[in-house]
Amino acid sequence: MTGRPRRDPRAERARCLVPGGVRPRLVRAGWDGVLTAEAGPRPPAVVCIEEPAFWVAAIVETPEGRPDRWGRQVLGAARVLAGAEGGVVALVTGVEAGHGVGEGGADRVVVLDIAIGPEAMPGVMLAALAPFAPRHVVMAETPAGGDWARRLAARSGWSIQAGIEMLNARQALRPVGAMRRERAAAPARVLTVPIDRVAPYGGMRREGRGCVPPDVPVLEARVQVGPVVLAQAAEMPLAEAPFVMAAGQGVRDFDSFHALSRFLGATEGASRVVCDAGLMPRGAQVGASGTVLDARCYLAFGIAGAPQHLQGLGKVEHVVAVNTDLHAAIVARAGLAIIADAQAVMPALLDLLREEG
Amino acid sequence: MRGVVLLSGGIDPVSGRPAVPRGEVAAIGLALSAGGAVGGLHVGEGSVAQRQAGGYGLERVDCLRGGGDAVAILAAHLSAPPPDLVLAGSRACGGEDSGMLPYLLAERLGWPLLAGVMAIGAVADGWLSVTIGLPLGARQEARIRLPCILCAHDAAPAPPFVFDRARRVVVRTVDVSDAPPVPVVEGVERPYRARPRLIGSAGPGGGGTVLENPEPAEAARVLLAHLRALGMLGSSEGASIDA
Ligand SMILES: Cc1cc2nc3c(=O)[nH]c(=O)nc-3n(C[C@H](O)[C@H](O)[C@H](O)COP(=O)(O)OP(=O)(O)OC[C@H]3O[C@@H](n4cnc5c(N)ncnc54)[C@H](O)[C@@H]3O)c2cc1C
Ligand SMILES: Nc1ncnc2c1ncn2[C@@H]1O[C@H](COP(=O)(O)O)[C@@H](O)[C@H]1O
Repeated sequence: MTGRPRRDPRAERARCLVPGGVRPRLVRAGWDGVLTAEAGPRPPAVVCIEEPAFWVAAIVETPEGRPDRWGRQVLGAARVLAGAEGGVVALVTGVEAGHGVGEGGADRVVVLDIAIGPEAMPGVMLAALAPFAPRHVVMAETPAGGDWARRLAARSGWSIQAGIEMLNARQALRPVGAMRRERAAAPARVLTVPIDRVAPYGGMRREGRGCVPPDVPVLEARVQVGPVVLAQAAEMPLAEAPFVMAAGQGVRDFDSFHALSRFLGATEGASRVVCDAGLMPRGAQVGASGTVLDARCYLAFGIAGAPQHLQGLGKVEHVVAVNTDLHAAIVARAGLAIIADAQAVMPALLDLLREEG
Repeated sequence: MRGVVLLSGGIDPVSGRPAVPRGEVAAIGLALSAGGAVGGLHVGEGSVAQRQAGGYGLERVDCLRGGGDAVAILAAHLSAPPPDLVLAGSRACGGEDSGMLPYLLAERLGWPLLAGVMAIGAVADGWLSVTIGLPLGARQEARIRLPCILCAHDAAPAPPFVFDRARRVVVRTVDVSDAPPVPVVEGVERPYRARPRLIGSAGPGGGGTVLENPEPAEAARVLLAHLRALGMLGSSEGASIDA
């Protein structure tokens, strides 16, 4: 049973009937208002759940302070497993963690310190999960998430399904045998999801109530990890680069383009036409017959966004475009599009960067 | 230093013929770079894949035959006398392929473990320094107490394959008995069917902001603010890594 009230078509029709007149006249406009006015107050915009039948945990990495696409999908997977009766508790690790987790589908949020090393992590997670006794724990199959999931499963003895490709409340499916076979089984206690396999939660916003994080035990550390060293933009392989800035036919001023990429710390890319013309090396070509990017941000100057080019942007999360044509396909794909001449914007941006030092 | 590389009986994903998984080739390379004697260890009947592993530089491969739970067999074999370093691939290729074996083994032996290892450095006071590979070309230095288990990053440099070494490798079969049975896995197995990934989930909130014909200075300011907000600029250490 869902909690939705049953529709009564007869009553709805009666409510739409305008009094008077010989023939019945229905006014369906404003129907919504009439309905809700009579059916009591509107349901609250936030779903709060006090005592769910059981809990499902999602472990969400928030590198940007809020869940990214993958993190929202992990929450979506937890919601699938929780169904209507269960609650979702999110353990969040990252900088300024905790934002946007309720929208993502979490009823409770526990923030874990990102500085907890890999060795202590399973113990801390088990302590944080203990009050909830979750039926399932879902994580992303990222390097960090995949590592935590396996440590957690090995420590607790819980069953694990790593890298599931399909999930519903009754079964999970994962490739086995060198990706030549697959196994369908009931969802295990621990699950990891690769990117773009499970849809994010699309329902009403959840409460995301904060809970107290557990104490971090002081262990005799046998593993010490240092700080993360980011790779230099110029020598990074295009396929691995986090920030790519690309030139298309609309770029003529390549001096500004190169200067700008150095200032922004971006790796350079180009459309095929530009590479064909010999203005950029072939290795810089982005697209179906070039490199498929794994970048987080793609800054495109004077690129139309042909389908073959857009294929190279498969996983890119943020596209920024500078183009003179409002109707270029890249503008539709962009989070920010600037309709202007690239030859004017690039020097202006350089000036601004130089001004700020 | 005495190193042991764990070899699963892998198959090639395309041809289905025995082959050494990519991650285990990387593990052999790491073990060789650490110096000292390096042996291979496989639980199960030996196959061509173990000989191939010899071609990447192993002198000897032990196959522990007799059946049973690989973790228990390996734990028993590795505890007397323990090597300094155990290396594994990120996951097997042809079995359950979950990547759990090194973690279960580390838990059983009580040894520390690190995954995603790109390179091995020097040993000092019983600590081994290693380099971990993260997405987008980022790196992280770490130290780990010996003895330990390391899982190689799939992209760690692979040693060259030498056919003659594959011919000369000593493959020894050791019979093991009274190992606990292999844990049962539930579910139905069938041929793999590729499923499309979700599409249209890129980008937060779909349609973006469009700025029509701004002044160049205005455009530059908006661009810069946007890139800052995305965390793509400045020395935001670690903040811009999708790890
Ligand atoms: C089999 C096949 C494979 C292909 N593979 C690839 C591939 O891998 N990668 C690839 O990129 N292409 C590939 N292409 C080519 C692709 O179809 C397009 O032709 C190409 O991407 C177009 O490049 P462009 O956007 O730079 O040029 P154009 O299509 O000429 O677009 C230029 C854009 O710049 C804008 N512009 C013009 N002047 C300015 C200015 N002053 N300031 C700002 N903007 C301006 C215009 O409005 C226009 O939108 C392939 C084609 C085929 C047939
Ligand atoms: N039967 C086995 N014998 C020895 N090592 C194994 C065996 N199975 C797996 N391994 C090791 O454990 C890693 C992960 O395997 P798996 O957990 O099966 O995905 C592999 O890359 C191997 O290094």
